Amino acid sequence: MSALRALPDPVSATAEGAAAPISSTDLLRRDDIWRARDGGQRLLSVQATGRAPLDAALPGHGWPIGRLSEVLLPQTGLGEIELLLPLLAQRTHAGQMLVYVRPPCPPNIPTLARAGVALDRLLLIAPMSEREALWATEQILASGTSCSVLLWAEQADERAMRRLALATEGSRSLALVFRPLTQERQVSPAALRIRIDRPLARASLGVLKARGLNCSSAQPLRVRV
Amino acid sequence: MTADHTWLCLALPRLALDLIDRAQADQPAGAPRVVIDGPEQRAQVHLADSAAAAHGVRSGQRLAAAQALAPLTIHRRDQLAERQALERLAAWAYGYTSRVSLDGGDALLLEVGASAKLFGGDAALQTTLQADLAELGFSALLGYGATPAAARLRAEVARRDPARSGAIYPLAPLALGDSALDSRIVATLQATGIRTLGELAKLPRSGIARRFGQATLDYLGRLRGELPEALDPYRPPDSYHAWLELPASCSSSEALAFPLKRMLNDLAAVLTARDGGVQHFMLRFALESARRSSEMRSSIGDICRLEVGLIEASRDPEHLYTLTRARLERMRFPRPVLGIHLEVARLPSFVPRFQDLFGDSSEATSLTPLIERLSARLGDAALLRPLWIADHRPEYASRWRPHAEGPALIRPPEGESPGASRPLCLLPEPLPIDRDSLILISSAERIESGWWDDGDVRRDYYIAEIVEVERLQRGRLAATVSMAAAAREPARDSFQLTAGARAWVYQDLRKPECWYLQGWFG
Repeated sequence: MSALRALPDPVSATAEGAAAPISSTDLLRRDDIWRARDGGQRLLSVQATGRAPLDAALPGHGWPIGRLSEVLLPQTGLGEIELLLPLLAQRTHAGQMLVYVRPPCPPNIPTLARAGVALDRLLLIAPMSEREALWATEQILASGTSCSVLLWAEQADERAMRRLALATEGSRSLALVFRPLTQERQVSPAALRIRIDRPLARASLGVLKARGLNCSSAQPLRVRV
Repeated sequence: MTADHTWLCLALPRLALDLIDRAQADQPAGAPRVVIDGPEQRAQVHLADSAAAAHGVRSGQRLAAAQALAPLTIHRRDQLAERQALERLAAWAYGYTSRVSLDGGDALLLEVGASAKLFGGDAALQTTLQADLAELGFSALLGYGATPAAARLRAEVARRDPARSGAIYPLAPLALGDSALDSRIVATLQATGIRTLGELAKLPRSGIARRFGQATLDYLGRLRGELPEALDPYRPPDSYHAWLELPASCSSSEALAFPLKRMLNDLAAVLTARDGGVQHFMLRFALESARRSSEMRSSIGDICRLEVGLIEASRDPEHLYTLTRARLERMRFPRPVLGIHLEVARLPSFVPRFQDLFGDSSEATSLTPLIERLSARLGDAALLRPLWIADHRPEYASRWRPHAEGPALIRPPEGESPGASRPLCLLPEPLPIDRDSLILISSAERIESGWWDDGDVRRDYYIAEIVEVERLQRGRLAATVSMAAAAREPARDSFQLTAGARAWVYQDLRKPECWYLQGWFG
């Protein structure tokens, strides 16, 4: 099916060539146009996280695929990986690689296996510097493979994040960057920004930014998982 | 060209100069250059380029005489490199015909009659050969012939008159001086009034043999195809070696890009001809000696090695170059590089990548070039695959090994209690911690194992909640990732454990006062 989709569509090709007027309904069907009214739920490419409260809160009822997402943390060990583990495990079974890029601590393999991660799809990248980690992440995202990439970045600036966002766009990858809370003020190109202050087992997370949701850093949407 | 001219002689009169030009990107303009030969004191001009020739410098001249004619840039002839270049060209020609032989010092003989049809006719084959040679950086003269001797003769004529390269013309009017006959016999023949090959061929055979020797008759026979000629056929080797001496020593990796590209193009040409690929190759960079010697060229001090490994055999020069450059960028040469040696120990057969008709390639195939690119830049040790071994000691059960050493290895333990809680993050080495920074929130789980090897452990494991980060971090938690590649990096302050996080700790029962942090529930 995907092969057929790759073939050029003769109808749209001629429409483009003749610069025919585009109707507004066609325009609204585009992936990169969303309307605040319907919360962007209809068109976004998402995948359910398996955590019902989170899915209910997120636009499109799932985690964004093919767009950069970001989790801000004061420190590690707050349940931030556990949050997405069902989704990550499910993706490995679909044949998609799960790539850890420069985590503060390597994952425990038996735990991942028990959570259902297909271990033959697991790759850990431990580069020497954050610069190389950013480069590697960009390469993976831009390679056209569909992966789930988890990156831990401390000093990534807006430009670096924008590069990652560009590389993610149009791919079928899940791209998630863990960043320190100190970088919350930075303008972010991420489609989804989440902030975790305290262990998720006891506290809620805050959605700072999501397309189609009315929330902000000042007024985060609290979700109790 | 008529159909019966099935032999092609490729003569490389500029071989020595071509080899020098190939090592540098831009042709030096104007300055007359010569390649010299012979002992240091009695050096002779082996080859002069067109600028030097315009000043009257000729092959065979004494160097001192040539230097009087023009200011010359002098290169010393490298016969070994010439021989290797010819062998590489033979390997390249092997892709066009199975009958190739090295002929003399600077020529190749190819049987092209059988393969012309395959390559779209004689003219198309000739164009392809010449385009390939230009790409490889060699200028060659072509001589066709019905027999090897005739092809060689026409190539010989082309050396004197390059306009006749690749042309077919009658041999009879050719002067005897162009033939491979002994110069004394030529002189004798000329003295008797015989000046062309045609005139010689008209003489009665018995007379030729008696008056000018059997060799002269045999030469005529080989020229006409009446006598067979035994050629030493070229057989492609199973390994590949190439040495390129740089015209000027250079220390930056950018300056090495051009000669490296050339070498990899050569390799790719050989691989294509053999229908092979390369999976692993070794580059050795010869560095200038620290001590300056008084010789004309500095001697080789030591060698820097660079290994490039691929997951799948490839023969795409661009791909090989990209991988090499990524590794080269991380290399530092302490002293300038004089030359490059490329070695391929094994030439495995090439298996083209399977591609779907609709270009819908599977995940695994598109992943391979990505992983090669990553490991080329980050190093093989930075890409890790899980290694899960049945062992009760957590740090033994969950390990990582470089991707290059193989795929994920999974040998899960049998009959492990599914209820036991395990952390999501596991430190490769347990960290000593302060007991007071924790509250234990589970009952003890004892792990006693490893009495059979050096890693004998007796531990009580607990799930604990961190209450005081300050105390915990006194145990230098900053060094959390002590993995192979990341070991040297400075502390990462941003991703540490926080109060309220659940940690996996143990008490060493052999030293009950010692508590360790082994992981946490991320």
